[in-house]
Amino acid sequence: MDVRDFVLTAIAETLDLPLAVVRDDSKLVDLAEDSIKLFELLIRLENLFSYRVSYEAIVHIETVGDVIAYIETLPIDRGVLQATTQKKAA
Amino acid sequence: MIWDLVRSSETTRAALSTAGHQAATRAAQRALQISDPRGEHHTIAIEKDVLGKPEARVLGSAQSVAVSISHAAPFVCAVADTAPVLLGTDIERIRPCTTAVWEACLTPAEKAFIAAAPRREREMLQIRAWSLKEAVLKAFGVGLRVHPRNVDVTNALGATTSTVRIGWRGVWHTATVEWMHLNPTYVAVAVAFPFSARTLE
Repeated sequence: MDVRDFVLTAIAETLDLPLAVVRDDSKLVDLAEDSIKLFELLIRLENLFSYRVSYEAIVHIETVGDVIAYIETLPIDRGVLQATTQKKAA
Repeated sequence: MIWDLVRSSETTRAALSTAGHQAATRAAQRALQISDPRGEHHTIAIEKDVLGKPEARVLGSAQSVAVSISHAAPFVCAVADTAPVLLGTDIERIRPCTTAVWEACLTPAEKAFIAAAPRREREMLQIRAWSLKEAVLKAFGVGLRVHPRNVDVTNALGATTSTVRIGWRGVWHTATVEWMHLNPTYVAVAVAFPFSARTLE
């Protein structure tokens, strides 16, 4: 599972949505029921990628694609993704 | 603070946004009417400032009215105030959320206050805390660009008066807070900080 799939799955699971409706051009404010859900998504992504997000750095984020692009820029440990994917599969 | 609360028959984001603008317009007009009962009827345009925060501009005059808008389908609320204030509102559906959310967004003092409350009241207090934090962040025009833990609303959670001290990035400010319970499932809050250079520090 790559970063993109990982992010899509995390968004779908956190916002209680079918994976099929989470598209790159989907706006997060349209997908989330409210701001609490958006905050829940943020802290879930922080925990998944073991990275504390600078809130000023995510001002521009509007769409699912923006989230993927932002996370791709982070110095994340790809091994964590692989380990989490294997844990889920098991 | 003047409130305008509506239940929208349509719950698409576009419909709620339109209903929010209409509610803000009505609230601003009522606020102007109350501040100047003999004044003429004002035409209002809801515009966004440089931070994306809505403000009601009185057409044909230099006057503007502080407004704030929030929606949680199917409800929409708007507040307006002609006084020089930083104004924010938020409406939330009361429901359980994950522990991770509260661990991340509440300050130690807020957590202690909620933990000491009767169990049946905790869910409501958590949502009230979030709602007020978001209203404060909107009042300062920053929204979730600032972590909600930078806002401490402990005093407001237990307050019996509308004037409370709210922590903003470690500094305490006096604010007016008004709550509105729409039904057992939704709560709305509005907060107003008297405008001053210190408030904006």
